[in-house]
Amino acid sequence: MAVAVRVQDLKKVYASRNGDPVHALDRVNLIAQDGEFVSILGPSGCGKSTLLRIVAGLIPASGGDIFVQEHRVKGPNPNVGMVFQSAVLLHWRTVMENILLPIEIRREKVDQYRERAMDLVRLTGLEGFENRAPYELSGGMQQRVSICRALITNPSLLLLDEPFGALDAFTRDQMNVELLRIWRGESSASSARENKRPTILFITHSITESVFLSDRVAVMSFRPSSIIKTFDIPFARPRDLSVITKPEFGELVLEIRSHITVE
Amino acid sequence: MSRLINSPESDDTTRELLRSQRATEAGDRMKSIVLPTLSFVGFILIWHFAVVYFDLPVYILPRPLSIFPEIARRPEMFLRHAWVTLFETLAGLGLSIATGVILAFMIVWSDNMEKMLMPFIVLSQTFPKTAIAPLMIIWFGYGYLPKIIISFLIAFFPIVINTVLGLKSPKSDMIDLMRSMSATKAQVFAKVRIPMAVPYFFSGLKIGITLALVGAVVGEFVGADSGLGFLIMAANNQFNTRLAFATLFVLMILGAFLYFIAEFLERRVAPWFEASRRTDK
Ligand SMILES: Nc1ncnc2c1ncn2[C@@H]1O[C@H](COP(=O)(O)OP(=O)(O)O)[C@@H](O)[C@H]1O
Ligand SMILES: [Mg+2]
Repeated sequence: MAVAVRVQDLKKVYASRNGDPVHALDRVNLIAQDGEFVSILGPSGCGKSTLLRIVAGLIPASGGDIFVQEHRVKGPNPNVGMVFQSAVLLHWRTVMENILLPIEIRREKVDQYRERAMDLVRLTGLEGFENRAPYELSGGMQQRVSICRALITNPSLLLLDEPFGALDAFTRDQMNVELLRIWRGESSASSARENKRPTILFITHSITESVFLSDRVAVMSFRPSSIIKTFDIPFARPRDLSVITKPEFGELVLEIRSHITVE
Repeated sequence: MSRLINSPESDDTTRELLRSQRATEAGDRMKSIVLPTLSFVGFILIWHFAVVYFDLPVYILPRPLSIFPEIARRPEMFLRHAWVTLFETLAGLGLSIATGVILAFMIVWSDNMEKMLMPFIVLSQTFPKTAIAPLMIIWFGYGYLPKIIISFLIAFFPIVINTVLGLKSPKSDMIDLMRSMSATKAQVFAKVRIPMAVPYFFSGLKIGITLALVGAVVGEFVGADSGLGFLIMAANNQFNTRLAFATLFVLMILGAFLYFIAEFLERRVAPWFEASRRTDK
């Protein structure tokens, strides 16, 4: 299997206002295989967003090497889709126009992507809402729109930064199930295209969420942060919420918790 | 899903509820017309009876209702002067919008530009612009130009500042999102910054529009042979307080007219404003 993301000895130092540098990341090493779902788990402020932003090419690293699809990351990569904690939708555009935004940015013909956009709308359960304004949608639905927007370009890598962190617990559980369905559906539903299941880097500070979703969970220590341990998650897919009640699930969550340090 | 949303309409109790809700809303609308009218009439009454009770001579304070005959007696004269002031105001405002928007773009486009321009803009605000009105007359004569320049100097600040705020209003996640799609700086402006700046621009414009009128009138105070500011000065010199009040009234109408034009444009062009308030939940 090819390697989708390779992070080697990554360092990041921020210059803070009072002059003391903030060592956000210190020798982070991480590998994600093609089509793998990897969660990065750690307490708030440990540098998870920093790591993701460096992989996305949004900010430079202070040291180390980062490769996406064997290419060194030098800046934003159009083959990467991003989802943030807030849906960041353009509220003067309809749902459909928001989903097609990346196509406009690429200066491609928007009409050629309407069909794919509708596929995604159906896949994410947004059917009937494609001509609504974002503010007419609930928080969970807004986040679905932002997932569609990230997927419209068929990215090979999807970066999600606490995408469901702002949702209530029930919606969050539901969105986790949906995310897995969308991610797996991606490979079969529209197989006419060249697309295959994207690799996912998923950031969270919920242990349960990370175990439920992932093939692998990487645990980050507190600053200066690195990845102290990764866990393989053995549960078979497709998964539904009943996995959570398995004793092995609880044991794994406890085991992971024992490795998490807070400031 | 659409059936779900429509279904309450078919429910009798819900329909009843909606009807009473609409009735309350209609009542609120009525109140928002009746109450201001009442306070306005009250104000006129107090003014009128104050003049009668204290027996004030007309050169101190004319009766409020004597102002309208004053205007009706020679409307074309008021119109002629109002036209001059309106022209100066709109020219000053136009200059403010052009300069303000261009400066705002430069400031948000480049950090170096911001460092170079911001001190000037802030200084221009602390600087007493009306105090240089007499100088303007020396430099530019008695024509329209000095009034337009004063009007511009006063009005452009709120337009620049608000437009800058608007162009900077997208949160960092929004900018990161755009950059992650490999959007160019120009695309970030076109797709995000400019649309988000529209409501801000209009609030700046609404402040600027009234300030531009003040600027034109101040310019006319200092030296002019036409315009509403000139008319007020002329009325003052003749102790014709009724004429001064009539002119003030015309000025007020002009200011309100300009403000409502801006508000109308805002409603037409910036439906985003409402939307943005609703999404910030
Ligand atoms: N632009 C920045 N300048 C200075 N310090 C920053 C900046 N961004 C993040 N940091 C600091 O780096 C650390 C990690 O931040 P972040 O990656 O956002 O953590 P997380 O996403 O895990 O909560 C925090 O201590 C934060 O204060
Ligand atoms: Mg974060």
